[in-house]
Amino acid sequence: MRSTDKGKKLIRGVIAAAFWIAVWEAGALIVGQELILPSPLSVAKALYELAGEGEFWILSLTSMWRIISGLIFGVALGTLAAVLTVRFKLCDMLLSPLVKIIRTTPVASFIVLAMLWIVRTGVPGFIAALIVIPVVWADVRTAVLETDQELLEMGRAYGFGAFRTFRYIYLPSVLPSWNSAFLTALGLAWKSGIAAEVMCQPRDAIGTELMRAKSVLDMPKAFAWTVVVVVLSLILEFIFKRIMKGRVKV
Amino acid sequence: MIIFDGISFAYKERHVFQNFSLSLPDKVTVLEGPSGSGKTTLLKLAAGLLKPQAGRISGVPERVSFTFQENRLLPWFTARGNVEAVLPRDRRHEAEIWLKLMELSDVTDSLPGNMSGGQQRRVAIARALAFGGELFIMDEPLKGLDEPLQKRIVPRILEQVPRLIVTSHSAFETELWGGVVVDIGALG
Repeated sequence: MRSTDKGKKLIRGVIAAAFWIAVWEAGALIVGQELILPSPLSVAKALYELAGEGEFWILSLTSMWRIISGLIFGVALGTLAAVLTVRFKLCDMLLSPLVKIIRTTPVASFIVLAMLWIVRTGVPGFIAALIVIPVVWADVRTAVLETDQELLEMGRAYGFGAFRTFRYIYLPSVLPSWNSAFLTALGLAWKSGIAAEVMCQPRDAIGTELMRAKSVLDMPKAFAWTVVVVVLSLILEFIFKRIMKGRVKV
Repeated sequence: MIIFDGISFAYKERHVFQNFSLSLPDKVTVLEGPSGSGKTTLLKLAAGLLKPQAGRISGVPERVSFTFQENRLLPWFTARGNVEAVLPRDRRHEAEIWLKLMELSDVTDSLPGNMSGGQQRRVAIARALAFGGELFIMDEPLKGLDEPLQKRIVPRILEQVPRLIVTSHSAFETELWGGVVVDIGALG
């Protein structure tokens, strides 16, 4: 992207953000109760106060670590499951219904069950992984199945072994779908991971603090924690896009 | 000598060959015939990309280089990358030689999507030449190339290939290739 395009994109983003903050401010003025809808300024103030506490960074990093571990584990398992279900009919027969069940089961049910099965601190990562698996599985599976058969035949004609077929044909074919599945999974992992933290209340967790703020009716703080989640998710998305930039070509 | 001995082949319900026999003895064999007569199928059978449902094929050397009717280039690799893909690691530097032979020195670092149809076709030929082998099978290799270019590159291809089976769609191309002409339509 050229620098002028980047500048235009940034300006558009700032205008959009300013518009919605203005809508938020207007809403807060109309409601007139901080308990229901705090103003952007009081949320910013709460955020500033939070950021000044050392515990804030420990909580944020711990939550992020839990969710990222779940995300990576889920993406790896989803990718592996996709490859296995395409490659082996038996795996497809056994795994496909399981992944479909995971996809349709409510997150709350899994959180309740996970709270019975594993230690509290492991629940957010476990839930993040579980929610991510079907998304990655479905996208990667479709991409592998839709790999250009003519290119695969070309690979056979030129004696491509398993490694070259994977490196030169499958990997570049699947990478764009995997990339977009990862971005979707990233958002889902945050949503489900924080939901799990809210429900199971582990130590050092954003979700626990969110629930605590709600129970003492400190709405600016609850909003501030939500902003933290959104910002962390956007930062991770930005980092991932930077890493993948130039690697996804079709 | 490549011998097709009583072969039969069908795509689902459509029979292409039934008890078909043919011998291809010469260095250069030009296959002619109307569209749908089975030229591509015969080439793929010879290369082992398709298996006959009956009969046998003998005399095909172990290493066969195949140029498909479509270019089948890897769209995510440059012209050089496409040629390098069929070369062993220690011979990758040869890619440029083959591209130069096909008059593609100015597009070695271009992606197929940024090349003309004729340039893509020549990358496909360069890739086949780079792969090498005792037998070259080329399905309409001159498709999309203008006549002066065809005149320049056909002798270069012929210099590199020990044996060649090629399909042709025009008398001009057939004459350029020389060799024995086999009309599949007449045989079928």
